[in-house]
Amino acid sequence: MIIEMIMAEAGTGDNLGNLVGGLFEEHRSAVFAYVYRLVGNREWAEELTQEAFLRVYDARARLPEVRNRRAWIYRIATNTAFNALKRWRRFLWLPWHEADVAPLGRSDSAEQVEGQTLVEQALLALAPKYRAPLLLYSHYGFSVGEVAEALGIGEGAVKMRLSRAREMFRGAYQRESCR
Amino acid sequence: MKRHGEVVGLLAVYRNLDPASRALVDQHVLECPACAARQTAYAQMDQALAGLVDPRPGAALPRSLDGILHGRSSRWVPARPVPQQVRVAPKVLVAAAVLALIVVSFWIVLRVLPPTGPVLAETPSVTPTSTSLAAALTPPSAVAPDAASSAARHLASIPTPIATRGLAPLVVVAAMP
Ligand SMILES: [Zn+2]
Repeated sequence: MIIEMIMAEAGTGDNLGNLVGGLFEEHRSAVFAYVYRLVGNREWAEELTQEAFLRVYDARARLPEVRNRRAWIYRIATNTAFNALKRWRRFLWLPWHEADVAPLGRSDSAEQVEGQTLVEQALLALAPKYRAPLLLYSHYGFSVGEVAEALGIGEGAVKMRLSRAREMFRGAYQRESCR
Repeated sequence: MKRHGEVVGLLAVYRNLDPASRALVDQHVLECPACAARQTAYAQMDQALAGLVDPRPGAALPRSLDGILHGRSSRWVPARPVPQQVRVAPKVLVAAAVLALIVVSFWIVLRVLPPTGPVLAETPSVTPTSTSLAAALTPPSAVAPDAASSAARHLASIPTPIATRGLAPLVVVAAMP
């Protein structure tokens, strides 16, 4: 049904381009905010959001088969952000075991992070691997299935990560509150 | 209480639970204070995270897809990290410091200790740096006075830049942040 609707909506290759244009306008701000919270730097997040939507555009031929467009876009955005963080860590010669627990890549200074609350700070204390599912589930209202799709992992793994992320967040929030 | 571990996992995704799992959690929470506290904390967490105000993109992010596509045709390269605050791994710093210490120690020893060993005087074809280092590592007591003075003359005849040339790259590496 959804596929038929998209096919009707899309029709030709150019129309798929228009469809991506509409998706960009619809999700631009939210995807930027998501990527920003993953990489922690505004300028970088703007670059990566563009890169992500270019990838969506380049893969537009697949759109008719995509069941959940929002989850698909977030999957591409997540991969783009994670790959960028990975490249950046290699650039810094950080060993992987350290990189994996590093809470954030290069971050804006405290003044630059807009209205950073205790909640934001507790979020930043989580490794991106845990921050991403928690954001998608609790901030963006994704279901477990959608989070799984957006992260390219199984639902069981999502549940485990969410459980760990929540406990980490709880601890980080308490620490931030005591400062 | 035997379901505690299972319920902890279920609590993390309470919103998405099927009715049977939800009933199991609700029942357990009545008899487990830790899970009751966890359930309250998670509910507050969801509320706080849902209420986060999203940062708005700046002018650098085009408002339309066309803007990005035009940008790509003229200047686009995949987003790469720009090192604004370059963090260097502590291990690299330690290695650089140790290296610097070794290089400086050799240099000091080279300058302070009397050069030794008849090898210096008899085989001038050996490269100055390596012989100087060898000399620095030889105990002064084991050296005959005339050999030492001839070695000193030989060393004095070596222009300083050549004598330290072999060390120069190490010094550069060690001076890196
Ligand atoms: Zn319990």
